[in-house]
Amino acid sequence: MLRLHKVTVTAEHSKPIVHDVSLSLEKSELHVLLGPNAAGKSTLLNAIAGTPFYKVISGKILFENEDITYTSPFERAIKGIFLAYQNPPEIRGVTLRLFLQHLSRKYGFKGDIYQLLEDYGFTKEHLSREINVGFSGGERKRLELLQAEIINPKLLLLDEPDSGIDVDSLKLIADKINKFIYRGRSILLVTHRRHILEYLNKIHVAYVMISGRIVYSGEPHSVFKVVEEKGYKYFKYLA
Amino acid sequence: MKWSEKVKELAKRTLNKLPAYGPPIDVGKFRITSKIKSIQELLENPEVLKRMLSVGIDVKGAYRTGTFLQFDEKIIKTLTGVSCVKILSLEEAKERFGEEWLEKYYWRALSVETDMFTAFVELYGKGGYVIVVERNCKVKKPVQACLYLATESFLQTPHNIIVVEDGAELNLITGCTVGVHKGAHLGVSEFYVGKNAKLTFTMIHSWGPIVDVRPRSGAIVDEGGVFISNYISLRPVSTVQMFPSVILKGEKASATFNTLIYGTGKSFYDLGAKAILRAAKTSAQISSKVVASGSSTIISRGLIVAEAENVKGHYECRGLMLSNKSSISTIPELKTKVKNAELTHEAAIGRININELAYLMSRGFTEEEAIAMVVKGFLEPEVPGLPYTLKAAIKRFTEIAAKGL
Repeated sequence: MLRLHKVTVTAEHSKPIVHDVSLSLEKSELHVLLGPNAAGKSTLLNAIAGTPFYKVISGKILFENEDITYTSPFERAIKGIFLAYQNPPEIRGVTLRLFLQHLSRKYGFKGDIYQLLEDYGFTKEHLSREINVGFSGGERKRLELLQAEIINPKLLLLDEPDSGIDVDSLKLIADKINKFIYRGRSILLVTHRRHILEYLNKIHVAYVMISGRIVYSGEPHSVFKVVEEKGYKYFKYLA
Repeated sequence: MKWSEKVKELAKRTLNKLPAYGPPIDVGKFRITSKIKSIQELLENPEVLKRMLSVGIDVKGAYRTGTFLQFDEKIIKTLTGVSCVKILSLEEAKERFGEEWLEKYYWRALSVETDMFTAFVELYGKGGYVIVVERNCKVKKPVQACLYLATESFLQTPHNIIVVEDGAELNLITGCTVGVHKGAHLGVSEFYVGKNAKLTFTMIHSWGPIVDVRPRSGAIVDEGGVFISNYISLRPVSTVQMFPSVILKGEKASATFNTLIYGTGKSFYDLGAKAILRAAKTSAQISSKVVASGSSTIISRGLIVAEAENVKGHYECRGLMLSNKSSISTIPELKTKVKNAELTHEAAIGRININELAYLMSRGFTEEEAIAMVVKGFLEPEVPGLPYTLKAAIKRFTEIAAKGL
């Protein structure tokens, strides 16, 4: 489904942040990318989603065997790649109602939007509010995943959906991640905390990224143990 | 000397006085005789009706208390039989109400000596409506007035007077539009809001790229009265300059000005509002939302003057820039002559945030769609007192406007 081949990424006018990353993710798989702050995890997700300001300077990104390295972000979204932002922006003037209407129309969503709002801990009143304006950390993260329900992407890139939220939101988000996988979606999850991992049913592969390089990939549980006991600094020697 | 004669004298002396803001207009270049043969013909023309509908005027709509239409200088009125609302042409009102009424309501909310345009309307003006809502009369259905330019290069010069007596309420929608390319509009409007009365006045403009517009208006609000003025212009125009004023002369009177502008092409807007808080506990709010695209220029002014105790005033402007060739200026001015006045202003102008666009694009929207969504959301008016049909019309309008970036 998703293949990265020696991908190196820069963010606007900077030195490369991500170096030579290769990975491969199949249908219905959940991969977790761990690493300390500023390791380049978000940069990698943004490069896969095609966010402007992030440039792949070498290597290739293949999605369903198609080279998407240089396609626009909206084309990638239409193909089925969804990025849940770590810090989704406030969009003043655009109400949630208008935004969700546009999304529903674009992706032919036939479900019950009110039920969906309820499932994600929102009320009808939220519809009249502007996107993310005055939303709590938990609300912002939940709204990201709620959009994925409407868009129904094949691949979800989740950038720290567990940061800055309370335990109820954390459980809800973990539960939804499990359901996405159960429904055959693929997920690349970025986090630097262990907590969310306890609520996830099955993690297929874990990676550790240090200074823009993947220094470990493989069986998740032993990695979590090492991270827990020795911290990321242990991996620095591998980098 | 009678008041009506005096204002003529004053007008003659003011005919060369340049306006305080905005470029002057050479009125001599325009026609002041209409070429309209039959108003009925115009009213049967679907194109004309469509244009009127786009500025909120629904000729066939049942949900109106009354209608006043002025094509060039020719007038048609309809009333739905609400006896406490009177709609007359200015000429009829002068004749029916006489000098005593003119003393009270003619050039009293706005000085005839304001500039060359007020003077011109007094001396050569044609048409205009007078609406009187009698004491304690509250009409739910709006009254609509349409000023339509039907002859090429016509100079339209109506003088309107709206009197909402004590305890009465009126929702007035005026739509101004054109069926030709070139023209000018100098419209004088005076508003008198009585004690505990309420007037919601909504003006929607849809001119053309070579039409020059200079509305001149003033309002006086008595004790506990409420004056809400909404101005919306989303289509191209050559130049619009106006600086409507309100005097809150009775305690606890309030005024609100909402302005919504989408500047396209070479449109030039110099718009403002002036509120004078003359009595204690009065309040004024001036807000404008403006979008500048193409090579348009938008100047937004707000002047609030506190002259009495415990008054409040706020001016705000939000501007969105869509092009490097356009410009937005915001000019707030707050003045107080008393200690305990609370006057504030805030303004924010800039481009659409690139992160917001990137976010929407990551959801599968093209850059154009993302910009349109932000612009539409930005413009969608939350102005009070608009009837449903008008809200729908504005919604369609903003959609079209947002698409035509």
